[in-house]
Amino acid sequence: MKTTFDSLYEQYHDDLFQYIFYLVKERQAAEDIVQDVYIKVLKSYQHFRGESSEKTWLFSIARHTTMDYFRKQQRQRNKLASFFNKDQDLEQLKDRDALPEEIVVLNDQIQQIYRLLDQCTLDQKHVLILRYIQSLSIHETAQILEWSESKVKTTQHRAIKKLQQLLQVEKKG
Amino acid sequence: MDQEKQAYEIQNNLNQMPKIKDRQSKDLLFQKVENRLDNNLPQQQKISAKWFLPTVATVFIMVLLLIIVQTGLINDNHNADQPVRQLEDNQFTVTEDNSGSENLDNDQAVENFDESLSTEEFDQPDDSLIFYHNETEVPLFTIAAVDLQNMYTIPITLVSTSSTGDPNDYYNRISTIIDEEMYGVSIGLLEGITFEIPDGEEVLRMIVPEDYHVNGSSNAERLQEMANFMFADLQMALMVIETEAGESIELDPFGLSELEINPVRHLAYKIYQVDNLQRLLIPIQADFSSAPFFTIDEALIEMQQDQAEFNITATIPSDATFSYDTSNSEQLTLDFDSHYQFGDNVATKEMIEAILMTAKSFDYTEVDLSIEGVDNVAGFDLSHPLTVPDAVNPVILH
Repeated sequence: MKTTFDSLYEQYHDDLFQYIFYLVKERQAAEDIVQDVYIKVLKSYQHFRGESSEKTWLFSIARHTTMDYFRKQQRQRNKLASFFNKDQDLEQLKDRDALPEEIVVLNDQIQQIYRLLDQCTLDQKHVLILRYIQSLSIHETAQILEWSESKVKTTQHRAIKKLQQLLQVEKKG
Repeated sequence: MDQEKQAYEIQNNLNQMPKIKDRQSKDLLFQKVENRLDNNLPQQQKISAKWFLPTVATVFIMVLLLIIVQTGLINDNHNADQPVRQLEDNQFTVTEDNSGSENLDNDQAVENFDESLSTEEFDQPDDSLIFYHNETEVPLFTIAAVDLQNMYTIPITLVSTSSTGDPNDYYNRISTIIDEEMYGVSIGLLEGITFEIPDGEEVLRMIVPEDYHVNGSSNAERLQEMANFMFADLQMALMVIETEAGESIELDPFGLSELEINPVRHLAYKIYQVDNLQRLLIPIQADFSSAPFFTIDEALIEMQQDQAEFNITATIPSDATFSYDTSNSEQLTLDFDSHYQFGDNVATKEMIEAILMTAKSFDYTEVDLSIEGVDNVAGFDLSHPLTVPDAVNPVILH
């Protein structure tokens, strides 16, 4: 088991952690999720049939595991929302996490885009992270997301457009 | 700034997003993973002492039932219209199966009771992945397991021919019924748990050991799904989680101490099979961004997608073409064009079973299914609308 872990860690850990972090934008959550991912992978490694690449498989598991985190978080929010009645109230309560120090040192526009990622749909966020931040190909992205390549291209196009619109709104505001 | 230039700048900025590194050391991470793996490993299945008496009583009833069946006191009410082997058929199958083991030493059989529960006493009706009640309705209890990669929850239906009618008798011995190695699933999340399911009330209790932890949001999500699959049909609305001492317990960082039970709807059923183990129908929900599927056509398209890395295969061929009519809220009409894989074969049978379960999750009661060039598949008469099944992944408890 240690050997498998070592091998996966050496090859993919940095990318894996980064992918999860940009999705959840919270270090502690990313650490918890990455643990979950390794547990799932190590438990089922013997059944990995090699029909996709190891990396695709690992990222695919990471995506599903992160989805679980979001679903859980959504349930909690729904519960809170029922206390406050209005989603707007809940929005005001949403904790605006401080920017990570790696982002703080960068220029304003990058910081702005980092924040605006949260206003994209989750599908769009997946594609933006995998395609631009992780620099994966359309093909690899499609495999990880279990989508067709054309869906990746369409979502990517819409995601960039969405960011453009959001930037314009912020500029006007 | 023109649109194109702005788009380019956005892409450029995204490319410049910094590498965010994990600050926990590799050794520490491995240690945490290893500890949790040790805790999550499936334990030897065993029956706890407090279940011994009820279990012995159940065996006694089962033996009585077998005697009744063998003496032919139960009539074979075989319904030729139903495509699936019905309960009575299975009882006769059991008779045949047991006739081959008549020489078993009874005392030895009792001594080896723990093992026999998961091997000889329970089986699945032939290779059917769905179950229909026949004229006699027997209690059905839906339990749930998770796939090996802890991604999906898989409902399994216990069909009890000798039921006490008390769900507590079934939900509290899941580990003796489901052989994880036979199905390629895990029920580790339910290890050490006892359920208290009151009659006629909407709140059940899940009693956990003092040191019970869900460990991570995936496990928490699976537990929620399992609870939904298991208890929604029993009209439960809430599951309160308590320790054996009756104290409320928070299981995870989300402060999980009770779970609302909601019916699981709008699913796409595919096949789950690890290596050459038992095939099961696995319900897939849409991704978080769009969950659940809004319409049945979305679910049908999902059923065409393989997920090989998760041991999941499509139930509708990816290149099959079909049309549908959803104008009748009770009956789904689905017309498949001819396809080389369609015929009176296992793949088509499983496709039909999966479609029926998917339709059921969208509240249809019937599916008027036509397949060009195919009239009959494994007993499914396609000249008439097919009724949606009563249950999925049946395990007959004799």
